[in-house]
Amino acid sequence: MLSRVADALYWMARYSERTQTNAHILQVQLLNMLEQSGQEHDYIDHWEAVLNICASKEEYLANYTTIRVNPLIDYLLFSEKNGNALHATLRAIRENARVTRDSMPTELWEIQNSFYLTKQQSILKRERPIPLIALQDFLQDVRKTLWMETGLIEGSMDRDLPFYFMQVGKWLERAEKTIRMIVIIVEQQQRTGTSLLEDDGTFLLDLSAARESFMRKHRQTNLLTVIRYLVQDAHFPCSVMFCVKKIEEAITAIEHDSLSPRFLTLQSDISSLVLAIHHIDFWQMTIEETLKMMEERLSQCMAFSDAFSTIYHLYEPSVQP
Amino acid sequence: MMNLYDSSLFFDEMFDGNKPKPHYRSFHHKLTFFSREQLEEKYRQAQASFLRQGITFTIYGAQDGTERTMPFDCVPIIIPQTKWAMIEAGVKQRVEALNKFLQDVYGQQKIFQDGLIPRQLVENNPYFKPTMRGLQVPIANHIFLAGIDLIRDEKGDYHVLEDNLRNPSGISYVFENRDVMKEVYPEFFSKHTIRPLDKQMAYMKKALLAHRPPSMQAEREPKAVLLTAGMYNSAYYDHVFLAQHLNIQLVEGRDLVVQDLKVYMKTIYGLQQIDIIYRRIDDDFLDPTVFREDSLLGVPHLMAAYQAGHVSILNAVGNGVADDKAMYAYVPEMIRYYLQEEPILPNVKTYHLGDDSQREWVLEHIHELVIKNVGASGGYDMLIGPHASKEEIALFKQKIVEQPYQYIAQPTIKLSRAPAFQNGRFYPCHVDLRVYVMKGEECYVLPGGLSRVALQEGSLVVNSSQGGGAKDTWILKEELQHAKSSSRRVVLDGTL
Repeated sequence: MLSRVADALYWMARYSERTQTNAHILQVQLLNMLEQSGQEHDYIDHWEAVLNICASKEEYLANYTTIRVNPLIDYLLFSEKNGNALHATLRAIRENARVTRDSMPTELWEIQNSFYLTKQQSILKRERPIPLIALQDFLQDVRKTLWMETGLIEGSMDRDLPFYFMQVGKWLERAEKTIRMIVIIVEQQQRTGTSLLEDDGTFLLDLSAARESFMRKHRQTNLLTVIRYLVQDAHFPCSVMFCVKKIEEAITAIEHDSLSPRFLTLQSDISSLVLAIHHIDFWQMTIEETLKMMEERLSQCMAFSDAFSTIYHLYEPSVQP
Repeated sequence: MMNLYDSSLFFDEMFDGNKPKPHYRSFHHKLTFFSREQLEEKYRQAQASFLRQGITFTIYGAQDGTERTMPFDCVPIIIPQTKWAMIEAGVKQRVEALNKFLQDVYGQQKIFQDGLIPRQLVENNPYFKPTMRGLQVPIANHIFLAGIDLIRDEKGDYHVLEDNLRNPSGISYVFENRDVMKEVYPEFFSKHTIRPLDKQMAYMKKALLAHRPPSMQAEREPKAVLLTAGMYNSAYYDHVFLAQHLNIQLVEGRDLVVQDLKVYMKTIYGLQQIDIIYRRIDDDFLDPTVFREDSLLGVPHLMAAYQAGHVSILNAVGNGVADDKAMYAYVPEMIRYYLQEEPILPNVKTYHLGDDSQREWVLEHIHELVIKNVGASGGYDMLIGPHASKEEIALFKQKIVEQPYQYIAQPTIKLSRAPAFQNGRFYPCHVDLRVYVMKGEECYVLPGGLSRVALQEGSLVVNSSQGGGAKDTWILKEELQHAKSSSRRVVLDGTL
């Protein structure tokens, strides 16, 4: 497989995952804010967290003076100034799909292309501010389209190189995103001074779409238990542990030879990440230690991404928003 | 449903007076069953299908690469078997002669010695590539894929309008038009047996892989790629389609690298050697060390690898010298000279403006003629005398006087017409036909080709970049099969 094609598939998967998560997070927050007033701490905190998870508060403040709902929505969904705006990541998926369309099922390209040409173009043409109900519909459409694509990929793609490059992109993006959510929520907690055990983790559960799964296994929703679940649970498909195991599976499939130097390098990076996650004892850690440890895991993921790109001669992201 | 129009002004593909021609009778009969609303709905379905599949071309100069579908028209061009046999023989003959001409001008140059074509006309041509002199191309073939554009005059006789020997595009539309036609208009096909397109890609692949580079070991399977300029190129869909159907890798210039005069592609496991490049970028952009230095699309030192015989480039470099509008007038002579045959398909009469007496005559009769820039294509820098304003005529007169060798003149042919259904009504539109010839060890002609239609009423320009559309082209398998419509065999729609 051409390096350029592998690169585009990898990034297409990353952008799909990013889009899906960001759309979900925005949906959560658009509902969540209805019960809060603009003066409450929670309201500001939650929007700040969402902004930092889906984009960057600093970049936002370079373009806008205050954190207010309509400019925020515009920034996170449509702004050309935000490389991670939903519109930009959706465009990046399509552009990457367009250069790799001979490596994927025809229907996958067609679904992506139809969505871009119809729903995405039509929301862009609407008068701002767009009513909440229309925004929710659009976000739901984004997620549904991406679910359909996930199903198509799972159900119809050969278990071959294109599939596994997409898998590495998808699971790596997801692992990084989960860690990022935790880091941002813990940072906020650190400022308020309460302990992780005392504070409520419901918002984090909602952001990470883990509430249903978590509630089946746990009664308490304190932040510490939630974080532990999101990092170490072996069965929840957004937990860091689960994602990292999936990456391990994918690289084993890409490299049939378990003695090749390429495999050994990647495998050792992944194994050390698995071990590190496995050995975390959240109960014994201060909030500062938790934060530092999560930041280290994020760096490990990013280092793996670099190593992966170098080993397979991937280019710089060919089509970035 | 179909309102008749006055079909007497031009040759009409479908009608004789107010009656459909014999080979159109059963199609015409089918058409009468549809209401205007049904046809409009089908039209929408067809366009949506092209858009969804991304069968689009990019408009140059439009903001952020606007994508358009080529308008599709549901009334096919139907060609009876005997007419097609003549076209097929005619285009094969033409491509054979043009290939021999290319072999000659880059080889012994006998045609100059024999005085048929002035040497300077070839050697001063910007498409003549001296770097090709003496180079032995694989299987002595310069033309892997040619697109020969045909038109019909007021008597219905076919003429060659243009040869495209560099990168003829549009072959994917031939296949996609047929697919959409089958999907959206299945009813039209009953009672016709037409030449299918299914097996054609296998011939094309065979022709492609026949071009083994001279230095290649006999036991190796050649590895071929399609070199594209990328997704912003106007014909990108064509490239994707061909790569998929020829089952070859679609590469961009940055995916290739030349080392030790061999060409490699950059894969995830390192470099892999390739042998055949079907390139869809122009000569000038192929290799920045030989041609345009500013080219970002090409591969440095590719020409050196080509000259060393380690890679084949298709179509060969320097073909532009043979399909140039100035050289076009000499093609019938080439056929007589190289093949000792009479041309089966005639040219359109062409005046050379470098010749004083011809130029004088042309300047006097310019309002009756078409003037074309020999270096332009796609309908650009062209004057259609009868439709031109005084200012346009004055401008072209000046251009001709300043650069007589840059222009040619041709009579305005009353291009044939065929009905098209657009915006809820039928009206006659001018059409032409691009026939694709694939050449490897043998020569194949794609049955049918791309029928292009000038959808703006009265317009003569069929190019997709200027409002042209496309039609499916049917080659009937049997002669006069309309006569069988009364036979008792059951056809698929259940009628007897």
